[in-house]
Amino acid sequence: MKFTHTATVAASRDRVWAKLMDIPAAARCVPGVASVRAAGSDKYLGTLAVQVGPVRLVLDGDLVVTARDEKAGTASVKADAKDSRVGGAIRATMALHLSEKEDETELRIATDLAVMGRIGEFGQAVIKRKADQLMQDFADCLARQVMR
Amino acid sequence: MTGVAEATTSILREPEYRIEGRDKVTGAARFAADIVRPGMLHAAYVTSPFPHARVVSVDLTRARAMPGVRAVLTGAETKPQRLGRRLQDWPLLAWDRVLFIGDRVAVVAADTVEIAAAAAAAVDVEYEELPAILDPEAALAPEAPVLHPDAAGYAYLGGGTRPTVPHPNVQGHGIREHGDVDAGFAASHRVYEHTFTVARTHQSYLEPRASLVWLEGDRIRVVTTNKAPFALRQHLSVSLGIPESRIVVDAGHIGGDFGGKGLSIDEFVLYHLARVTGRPVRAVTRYADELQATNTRHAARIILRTGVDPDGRILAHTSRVIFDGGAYAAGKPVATLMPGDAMLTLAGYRVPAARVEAMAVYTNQVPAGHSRAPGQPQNAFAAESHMDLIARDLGIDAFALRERNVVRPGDVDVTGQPWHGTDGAALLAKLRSASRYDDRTANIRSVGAKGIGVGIALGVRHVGRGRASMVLRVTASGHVELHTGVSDQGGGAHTVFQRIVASELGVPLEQVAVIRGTTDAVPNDPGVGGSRVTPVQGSAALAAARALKKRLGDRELEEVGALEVIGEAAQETHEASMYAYALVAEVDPDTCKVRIRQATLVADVGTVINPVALRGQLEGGFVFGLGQAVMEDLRVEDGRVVTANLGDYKIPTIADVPPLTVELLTEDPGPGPFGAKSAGELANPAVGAAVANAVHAACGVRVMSLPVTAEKIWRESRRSGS
Amino acid sequence: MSYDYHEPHSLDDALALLTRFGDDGHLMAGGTATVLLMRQGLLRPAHVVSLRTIDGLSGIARTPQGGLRIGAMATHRAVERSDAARGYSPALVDAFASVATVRIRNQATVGGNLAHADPAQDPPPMLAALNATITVRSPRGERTEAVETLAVDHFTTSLSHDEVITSVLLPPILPGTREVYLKFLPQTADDYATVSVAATLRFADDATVADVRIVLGAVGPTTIRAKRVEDALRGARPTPERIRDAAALVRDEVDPLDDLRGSADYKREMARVWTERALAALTR
Repeated sequence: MKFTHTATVAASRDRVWAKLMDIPAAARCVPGVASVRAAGSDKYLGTLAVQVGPVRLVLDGDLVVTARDEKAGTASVKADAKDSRVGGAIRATMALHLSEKEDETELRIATDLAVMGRIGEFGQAVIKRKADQLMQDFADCLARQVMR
Repeated sequence: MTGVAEATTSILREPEYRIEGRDKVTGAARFAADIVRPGMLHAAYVTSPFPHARVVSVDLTRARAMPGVRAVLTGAETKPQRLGRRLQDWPLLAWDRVLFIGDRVAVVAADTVEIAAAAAAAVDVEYEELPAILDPEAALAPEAPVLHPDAAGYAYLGGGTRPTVPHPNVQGHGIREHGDVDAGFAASHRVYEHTFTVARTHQSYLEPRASLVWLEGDRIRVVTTNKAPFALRQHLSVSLGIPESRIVVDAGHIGGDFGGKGLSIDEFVLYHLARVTGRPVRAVTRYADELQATNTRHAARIILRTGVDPDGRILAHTSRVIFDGGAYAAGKPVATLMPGDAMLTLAGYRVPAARVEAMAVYTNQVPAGHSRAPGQPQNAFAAESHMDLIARDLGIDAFALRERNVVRPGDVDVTGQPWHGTDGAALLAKLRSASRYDDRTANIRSVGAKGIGVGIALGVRHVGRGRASMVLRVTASGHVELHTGVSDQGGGAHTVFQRIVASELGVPLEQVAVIRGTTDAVPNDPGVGGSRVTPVQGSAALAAARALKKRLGDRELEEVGALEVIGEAAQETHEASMYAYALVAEVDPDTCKVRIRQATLVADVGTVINPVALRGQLEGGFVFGLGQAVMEDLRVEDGRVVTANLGDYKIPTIADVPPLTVELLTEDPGPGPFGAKSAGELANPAVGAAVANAVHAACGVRVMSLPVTAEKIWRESRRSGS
Repeated sequence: MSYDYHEPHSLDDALALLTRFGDDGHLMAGGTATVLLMRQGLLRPAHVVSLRTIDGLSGIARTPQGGLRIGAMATHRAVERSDAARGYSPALVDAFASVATVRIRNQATVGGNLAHADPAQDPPPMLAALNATITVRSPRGERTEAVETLAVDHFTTSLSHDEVITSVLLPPILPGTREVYLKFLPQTADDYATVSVAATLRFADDATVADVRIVLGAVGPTTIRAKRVEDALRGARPTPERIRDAAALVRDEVDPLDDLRGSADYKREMARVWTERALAALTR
């Protein structure tokens, strides 16, 4: 499943870039994320807790910055996480793009998400909606933090 | 044609008592998943979450350490063994690459189902994702990655060599041509081309696959839901390299089949687990895995092109049919490695010249296999929609166009062969009267009823072919026992045999027992499928009864003591029968919901042996077809089946079934016992087109894909503004 | 999977167990949703606390004021067959009778249905349209909440972990009120709705609409109250034209998902069609 999210920040591109590339801090903008820590260069370990009604997922995994180009304002991030209780995993690739427009910066995140194993048996449409909300919350939170 | 004896006719007229029925309604019938052996272990699989990936590493450390886990195997241990009904291309466990979501990488045997599942979840597999081919057209591109680079080494069963294919990603391919196609098109008044698509569907039997394997001395005992136990014995023998004589397959009651229970995918690896642990091992498939990872009906894309004269008579026809075969061809039993009737693209009509091309293509989707009347629902939907569109464009009544073209004995049809079967004109005449077609259409016209229309569609199905034998034993008390390898998969086979034997011997039904035996106890049997049971195995039962009659001479059964005869039958002639529908559909103008108000089915069945079971097959076939016509769609997104339970994969409920009138043609005898034909796959394929045609008549909207859903009609009506 | 199954004999015992188990416990009423999720492996509680052995939670009776009280453990089938419920509102009975099959309705409970908060279920929109409230017990005491606001997202309610729905209270229906429940099933009779509409409408003496409540199911993360449609009708004469124009406003109030039961576009349009049909049925 693919999504695109945008958020506009009243700040320079450099400031947004700096915020975005502080991965542990930026990741805390995803609701349910706990304990993101560095594990090598451009690699981070972390946990994401997601709840859809009675179904509680605890996704343990890693996040890798696979490419970054400060000049172009683009970065690629890949996240792999697994819930061993329910039996299932997610894999997400995110293409981040910052573009400056006058005194604002637009953050654009294109996500390609795969939901695998038993997690996927819980209504794909609802999962899609949840993931969509999660990414929009992330973008909005990041925008708020930069402006703070 | 067999003469019908006095005793025969009287017994066949008696009301039917389903001999398999009592055990089922009382719960005494034991299904494969009911069988328990002392010390039995349970299997669970580790499956691929990716449609196409390289298996980088498999770490069993955590799984093996779990209490209650008795064995964990990976492809490294079963390599290079593969399974399949004709082409053995499906690895027991993948060792280098996985080819669809659900492909098996490792298997666990543990003390309980729960431990097995937990251990399977604890197997750590590292994958490297590869580009997935999710569309047959992409698979056929010249530069497409080859999904089976080692195909040359695969076993191809049944003798002969695998037919050549035009692209390495093609499973099976066929081209057939007769007559002067180019001249036919050149002479045509009009040439029509239409493209149709058909969704992937599932057989939706109630009972999931189950199997149990254990070793007994040097024998391998297999309890299974497979409906062709002798064929499974052969598949196991070839895959595992073990002589058939050491394998005993026991397939008793089967809880529904609909074509899907011919493929086994567990028994092979269960053997290895039983060997390694020394214990019986059982696998029962979760229904989610049935839907996501077994063998579906093929999704298809069908292009039909037909030239006609000014009266609508067919002069030339070409077609191109592409079936999405999924990751493995293992589910297909026929030599062509395509669905059985892949090339029957304009069945039931005189076709003086035709070129038909069909193929099944490898993709990274769930493997496709056989499902009730394989290949036919796809082709019948396309052909009968195509005929309707031609009739409309020419301004000819849909019924009249069919009457002008329908086959009569001796005509050349799309196969290029002379037609041996139903007189199509007689069938259509009966449909016209039985459905009150003229009255109904006149009524609809005269009252200007909007949103109501009548749709016609016809279909063709061959009478089953093959060889079978059975043993008939007379007991000391003068009873007879028919020993057969035919499993009871719900069609009522044993009742058919009882009636045949009793009527031929002229004894009461109660005097004939039908005993199903394991593969070591009865003669070889081709299994249930291919519309075969009544004409082939039924003929073997009849042959056995005749052989016994001959041996008896003037003696009574009670006088001969123990006596045993073998009945053998071969039904090799190509005969086919036809059926046709008229459906009255109503389409809601705002929601585009379709309501079938009434259905009429006329079917040529030859002599009726089991009146109730025959009705069950025809009515059940209609409902099965209706599901695929209006709702069934095994949806796949990015290679993952998203209709993962029967709450989301909808099949019809009784409230969805409209009033159905069934009329039989029985005068023309078939090759089966007493002149019987086949019925099991006769009624389902043409329902989709009948619905699409009725919808078009009702609201002017043509849906070119199955299923015909309200939303598709709504979208199309908005697009066309009709 | 293994879990401990508890059958307390009083509500207080049930609440104590829920408090003790916290996140490891799961409350079960009829179990039709819970058992499915457990069998799918999506829900793995260590403790299941059943309400079925607690007396007094399943009655259905008219209130002295003319309303209806339904015990949370009453089954759908019990509501469907209850004279009291039918006497109160035939449309309410229709909504419960629309759920799944009789085997499910014999097992599924009114309270369990509300707590499951599946936006495609039949009873919640009808209960919300009838202005029902639930009574909730917890160790902190008793509170009430409107059915309309109970669900906050897909399968998510405002209930906290140690709260139990004990009953549903439907207020008296004012004279001149009509109610209807319509469920759109485009494919098969045994399915969740593609869209459902529950509506109540009361005429004033001058044949204008004194009050109207319209609640849709299956077209949003929760049931959706069509307030703009209601506003367009309140105080007006419900002519076919006005109904048509008002119903069209529902398209912007719903928030459907693209799923197996229809695309978001189709559901949006069907919400309009069925809102119009519901209003037509109430003003005929």
